[in-house]
Amino acid sequence: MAQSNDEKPPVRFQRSNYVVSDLDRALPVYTDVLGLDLVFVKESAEDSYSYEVFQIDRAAKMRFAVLGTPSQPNCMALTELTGVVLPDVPLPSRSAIVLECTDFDGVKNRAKAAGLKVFEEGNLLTKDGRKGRELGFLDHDDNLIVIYLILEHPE
Amino acid sequence: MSGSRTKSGTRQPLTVVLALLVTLFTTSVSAESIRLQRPNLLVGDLDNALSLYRDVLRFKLEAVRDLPEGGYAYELFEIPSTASLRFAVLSSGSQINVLALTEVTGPGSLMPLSGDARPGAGLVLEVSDFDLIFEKLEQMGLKVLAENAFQTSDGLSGRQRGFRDYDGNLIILYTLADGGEPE
Repeated sequence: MAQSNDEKPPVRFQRSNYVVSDLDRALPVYTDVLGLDLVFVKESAEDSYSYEVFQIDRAAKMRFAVLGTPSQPNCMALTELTGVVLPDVPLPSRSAIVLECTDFDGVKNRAKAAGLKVFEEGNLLTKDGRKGRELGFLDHDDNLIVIYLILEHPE
Repeated sequence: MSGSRTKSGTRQPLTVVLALLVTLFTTSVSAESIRLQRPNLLVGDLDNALSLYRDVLRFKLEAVRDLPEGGYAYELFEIPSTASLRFAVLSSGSQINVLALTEVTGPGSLMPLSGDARPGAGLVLEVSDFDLIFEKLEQMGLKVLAENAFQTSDGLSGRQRGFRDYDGNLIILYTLADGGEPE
């Protein structure tokens, strides 16, 4: 049953979107390395709103992929832009996606095996005293992905 | 007392059935090996950013804290060591800690992204007060894009509109027609 507007929070996070230059190359990072489910891929229409959003020439081609997890359908998207030069990620990087990951070492090993830039692992200490591991790596288009695993909860 | 019937014909208390359902649900969730916790956006002025994300978009501010010099964020985001960092976490409803904002100030602080820069982890958010929010965004002088009507392949329709926050981060808001019921 759908919630009424009165029951809905005023804002709800639907998904993050990263821009990529080659969707076929990017998707295995998000599916095979991270373990997200691919929900669908579609070609963007010539009148797609994405052209307005990304302020790119309509001569460029776009494809759009949506990914999720069983409990978080459609929580991540990738927009492929081809036919234009993708601007470099500005430094400092302006954003990251942060994922909790129980298969921490599996993701770490798969990211390395995929030839991605993997940062040195960090020690995580949250504001409420939880301790764990965190690791950042870049996809093939330099989009920043951070995974973490909580190992200790404060008593 | 309400309950359900087993194959043998005995009645199970409703509380037992509910407990089983809860167990099944939590087992299913915890069995997921990956969960998107949040996007984290870099901003140049946290107070300015909160005036947008908390006061206009109505996320709930959970906490703000300083990040230690030389912490992991410096390495990941390639932030100059001379900069100072503050970190804010926000929630909305059942989505706890669903958004983070990391403020970069001091030497090495951020310049807003230009319109043709790569937008980073663009956010897509569903909102209730669509028109009111855009009125406020325009009053705040933020770059607001044209509105667009959409219809999804599974029958949802609504309105969507993008804007850039004070730092050039791309945000797309949408609202569903008719309370979100599929057509």
